[in-house]
Amino acid sequence: MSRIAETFARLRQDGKKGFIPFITAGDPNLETTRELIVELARAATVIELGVPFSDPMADGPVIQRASERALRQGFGLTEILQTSAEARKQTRVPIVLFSYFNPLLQFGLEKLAREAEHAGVDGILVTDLAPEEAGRFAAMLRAHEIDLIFLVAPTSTDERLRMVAERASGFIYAVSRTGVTGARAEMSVESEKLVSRVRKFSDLPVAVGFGISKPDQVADVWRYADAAVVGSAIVGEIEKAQSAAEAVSRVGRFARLLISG
Amino acid sequence: MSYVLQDERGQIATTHSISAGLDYPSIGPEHAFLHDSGRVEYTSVSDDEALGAFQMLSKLEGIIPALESAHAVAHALKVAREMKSEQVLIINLSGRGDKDIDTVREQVGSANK
Repeated sequence: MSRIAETFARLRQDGKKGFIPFITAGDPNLETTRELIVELARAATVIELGVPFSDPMADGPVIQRASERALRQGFGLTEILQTSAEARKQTRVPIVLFSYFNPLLQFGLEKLAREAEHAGVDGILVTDLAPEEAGRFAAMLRAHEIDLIFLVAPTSTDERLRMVAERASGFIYAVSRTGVTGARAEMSVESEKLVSRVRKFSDLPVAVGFGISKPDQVADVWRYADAAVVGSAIVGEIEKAQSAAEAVSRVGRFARLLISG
Repeated sequence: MSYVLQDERGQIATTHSISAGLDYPSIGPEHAFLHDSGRVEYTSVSDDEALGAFQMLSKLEGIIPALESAHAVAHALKVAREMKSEQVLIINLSGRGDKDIDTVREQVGSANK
């Protein structure tokens, strides 16, 4: 059983729900990313580590700016995996790389599967990899005990939900609405409907993300899903901080607030 | 799959072209396939060459080519010089240039000042 599956099984046993924070690797720098992972691990079920990309078409302005800050430092996947490996020495929290496909493709998919396993990465989510194209990559990752996480959206047809259910492992990420990442005042009612549709096809835990920024939204998602993902609101805390140390303490405080509901 | 202007880490490069339709770091997969199969030879021309061809075709034929198509005209001018007079050369003007008048006026106008 993968570390992600184990973590969710334990959560379910304890009758608890999960919290999945997202941060962009290298924002504000990789050393702080390691500290943020360790800090977030105290509240998180799984941590999503964003791989910065020049053309982040699924992301709203907050995460776009984080990607730009990270890219200016000129590191790549090798350094992100090193950071992940260093964090792994300090925590057992599952880490999921959240990436666009091109940086992974240029790095080399087989090499990535091998090195990600060494670095203690537990899952990879590729925003722009359609399930039809994912078979070979999923098999490579499976051989290295890494879960391939898929996104589904309110617009996903039953046929596609079934296809994702066949290929996914770890958990399924349900996007709460159409559009890009970013905080919203109201959560859409569509996401609850989507989660119940996903459950018709898969027994995997379902996490809901996109637009969640407040404790009451997290609590609401916990009514019907297994975990809530918070990205832009956390990245926004990092952006507001005047120093790396302040970023870590702000994010820790904010994470505890989010799960207090 | 297609060709993309990118660095070794897979980050997409920023681009420049005087024509909006070419100012993009990738190419349609059909072109990538035609390139790989060797059926089409792809080449490039500069902004200035395209602008020159745009003006030449407008003046000599009264046909205003799109700036994208003006690139083809510019390359055709180079190829034609190597050809025999009885040989025929066809240019596909994929778009009209009245949409580009403002861009050309800006560029050519500033060069004439």
